[in-house]
Amino acid sequence: MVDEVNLKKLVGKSDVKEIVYNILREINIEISLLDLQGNIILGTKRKDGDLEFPIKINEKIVGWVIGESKASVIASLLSYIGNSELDKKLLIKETLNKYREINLLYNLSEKMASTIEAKEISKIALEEATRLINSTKAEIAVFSKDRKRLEKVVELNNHNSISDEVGLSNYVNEVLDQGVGQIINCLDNSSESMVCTPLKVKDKTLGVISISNSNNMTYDSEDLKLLNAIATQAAIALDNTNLYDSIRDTFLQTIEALIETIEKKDSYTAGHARRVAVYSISIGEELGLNRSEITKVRLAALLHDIGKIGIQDKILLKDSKLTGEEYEVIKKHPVFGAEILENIDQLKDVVPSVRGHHERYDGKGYPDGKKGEQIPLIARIIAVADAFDAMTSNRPYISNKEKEQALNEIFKNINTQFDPVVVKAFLKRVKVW
Amino acid sequence: MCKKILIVDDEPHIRMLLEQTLEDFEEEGVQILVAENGKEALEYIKAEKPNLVYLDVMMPHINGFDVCNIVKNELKINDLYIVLLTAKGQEFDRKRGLEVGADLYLTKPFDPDLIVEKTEEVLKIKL
Repeated sequence: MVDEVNLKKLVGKSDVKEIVYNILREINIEISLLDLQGNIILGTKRKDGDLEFPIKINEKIVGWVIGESKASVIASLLSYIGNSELDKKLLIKETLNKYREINLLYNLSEKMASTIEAKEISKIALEEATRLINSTKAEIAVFSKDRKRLEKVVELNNHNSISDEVGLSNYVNEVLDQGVGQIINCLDNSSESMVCTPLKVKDKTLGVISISNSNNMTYDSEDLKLLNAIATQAAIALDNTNLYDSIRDTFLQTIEALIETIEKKDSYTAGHARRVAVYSISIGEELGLNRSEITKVRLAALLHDIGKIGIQDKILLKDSKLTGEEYEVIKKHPVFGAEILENIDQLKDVVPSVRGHHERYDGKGYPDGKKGEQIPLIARIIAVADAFDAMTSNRPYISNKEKEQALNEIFKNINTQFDPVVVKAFLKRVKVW
Repeated sequence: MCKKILIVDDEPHIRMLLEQTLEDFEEEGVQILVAENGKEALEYIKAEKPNLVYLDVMMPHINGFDVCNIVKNELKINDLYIVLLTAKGQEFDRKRGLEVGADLYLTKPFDPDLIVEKTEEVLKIKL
């Protein structure tokens, strides 16, 4: 036990033993040392007329020195050393607790840094909180965007807790109003206790974290301190996800604006990019691409025709058949698209796919005449989706064929225009539609 | 034969903290030995044959790497589990740690619960 000093161990220390023996020799007496159970730890058996002197550590008797009156000095000495030993132990205990805290925060921030999902961060925080603080329920709630409501992000519930019914939410509001954590023990004489603290970054309150227990236990300031430490870490991480979200929103809005630009210019292509994206994503999924690859598919498909902005209206919007020269101009749009998108760092990965979406599997496409696997997979996917949509949507320069005819046409061009694997995946999906 | 843990660190307060962390193992009959430097550590390892050692890396004269190297590669003592301890923020040479045959390394300030867990595992004692 940390808050106890073992007498036997204390006098077993070589330096303590030496001091005691030296004193005994100097004052020329013999003593015996007994523990609380009366076992002799040191010295000989008691003699008639011997006195008993208690050894007290932290006001508690831990043993006895037996001997003549001078033996009292040994009792005082051992009491003093014992008390120092106890102080030392308590300091060590305090330091070890600090070590625990440091490690908790270190691990927590390390774990949280590996994710940008608010849900995931909340889960990590709650798992850590419930691991360290005895609880039957834990939850994190954050303000909605308009800051009017609190929305539960994650809840961990070990038992069916009754907290909602006994009105813990009133206390949550109080915590939010006052901006400091609270301990609520045995709320309204129920068996429910709770620790709740705000998730704050600087002076902005993002929400609350609370843990509760419905088994008649009481929380203390240690628990609140721990929860506060976890809350601080979680709040910073959650705030980062907000920043990340807003950057991502801006990015997606920029993409939307770009698509809108080309659609405004060429009303015939309105909706085309979005449909190609839908087809391309389903091909990608059929091919087993992972989430981040699918995101690239989506972006590349949405933006594949963006280069058409750079084509003169009289050519792009021409109703009649294009001359050879005009067709050569139209063929520049994949390169234009790549050049436009190169300016956006986050789109670097999709640039080759946009540039390559008019390449052909047999190498007879444009702009680079790449063939087979040289063409980025996403470009090969978009080629199929693009062709299908061109044949099935109403565009003035192409007659409206039936879906079946379009598929036949694509099938006919396997290995020449299209990648057979991509076409196979597409046909598989089309059947499902 | 009783199981033995050796604590090696030149800083007295780290020794105390480790001793306190491992105190409960004494109740299970485990003997805790304490050394203040690499030389003493090697003497203890040869004479007492501990099962587990918590070994500080940064020590004057014979450092933790050297002790580990001598034990594992020169003395060929392979039934000793060596945990190297190094201060957080201090660049720890993982490669060197592996080369000299350490079984694990942890950073200081150490997590007391982790130390207890690891000790339970190595000594096969459940507190």
